[in-house]
Amino acid sequence: MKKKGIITIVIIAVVVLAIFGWIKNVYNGMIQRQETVEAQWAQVENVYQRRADLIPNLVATVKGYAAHEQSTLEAVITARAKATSVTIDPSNITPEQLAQFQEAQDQLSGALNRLLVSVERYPDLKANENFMALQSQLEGTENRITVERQKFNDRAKEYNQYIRMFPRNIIAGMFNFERVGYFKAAAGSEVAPKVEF
Amino acid sequence: MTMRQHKTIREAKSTLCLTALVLLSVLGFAQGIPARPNPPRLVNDFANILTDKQEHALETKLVAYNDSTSTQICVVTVKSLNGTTSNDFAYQIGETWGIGTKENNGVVILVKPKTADELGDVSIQVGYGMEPYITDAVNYGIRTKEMIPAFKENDYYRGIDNAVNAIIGLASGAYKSDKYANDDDDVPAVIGFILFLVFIIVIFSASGKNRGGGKRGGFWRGLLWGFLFSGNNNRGSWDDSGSWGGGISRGSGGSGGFGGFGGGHFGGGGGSSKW
Repeated sequence: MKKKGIITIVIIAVVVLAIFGWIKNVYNGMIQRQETVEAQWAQVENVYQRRADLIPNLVATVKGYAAHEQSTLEAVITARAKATSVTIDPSNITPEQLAQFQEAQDQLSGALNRLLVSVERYPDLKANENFMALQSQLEGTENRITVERQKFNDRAKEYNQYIRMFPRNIIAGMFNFERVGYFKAAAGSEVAPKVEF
Repeated sequence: MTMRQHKTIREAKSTLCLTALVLLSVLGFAQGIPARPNPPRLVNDFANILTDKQEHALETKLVAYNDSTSTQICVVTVKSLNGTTSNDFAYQIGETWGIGTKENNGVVILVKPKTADELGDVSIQVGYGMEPYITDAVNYGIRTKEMIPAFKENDYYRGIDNAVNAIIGLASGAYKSDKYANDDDDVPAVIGFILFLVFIIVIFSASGKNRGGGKRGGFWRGLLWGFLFSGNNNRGSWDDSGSWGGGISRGSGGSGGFGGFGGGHFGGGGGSSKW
């Protein structure tokens, strides 16, 4: 009788230990992936901030040459103010919040594009050294934004897949790990692959 | 052949085309850039706009620079950008090939030569670690002042060489190669060398003892000379990580050889210009 009791206790202990080990692994795996996503989010915010920092300088330079573009310039300033006011808590990047963030940033991109198109009419400005430097910085920053957004989507996908798969989704539900959102390609910005037969 | 058969064949054909299309668009991005060269090279003239001599001169310069600073400047020329932008193309090369070390000190210079119906396109992408040294404005200056004037005269070598010199000048002192430092990574190479010395001494003393009695010593001595002789050809091709890189040096004329890309990351810094 006594022997049987000991065996039962041992079996229970082993099972409990196995479950504990599994939960620990899964939980730590989620934390690790979540940290990666958050670190990448910081990179995304960095590059957007970099763009926002360039704008005052750009606006000042354009103003000197293209006084007629007052409304375009103002649109950029307003869009910038709006874009910098939308921030996200990096530990809780929900799809809705990300969509909101992206919308504000995309509006700024649109306003900036309109400004850059309108300055085509001012050859003096286009030849200005300072403006050319700013334009190249803006181009580099837009590249960085594309790259960091893509990297964020990759990390987010990895994390989402990890927490949503059975049976890990049980642990995710227990500890409130939630899906993070993705950046969506802006309409018309994709390059369609050319296929020739 | 009946109408029905015709129809089936046509359907099969369209299915095949559709499958091919889907596959191409899925694989498109992975196939867009050329595979990492093996053995690794810093000058990859896929568009064939440089002569062998020019390629060799550039490679030697870039390998020497990599040896002394660990900064990797990779020159790639292509005939087509496969439907993407030159910035994206260059970024993907940098990231997938892993140009630069873990300090992310890699640079990609991508040139798509001008053709009868397409503009030329040049992009310089810098790794995270190079962004403070080659800022976007400087990068723009290198492209428009150093490269494009030469490219317009069809002198691709001069344009690329100018850019390489400019980047070398800007990044001088930014990074140091840890080749001569007492890093953990170098220990295996040192131990390997000591073991090799011990091996030589043992063989020599063994063969000395057997002098006159000779067959065995002769065999070992022959083996040793064979070893030394074959080693001589590849001398200097131990790379930084202490692994044997025999054969890699062939392309660069025994100047040490390029040890390979170090897994650097890129963040899209840099820009492109057309001409």
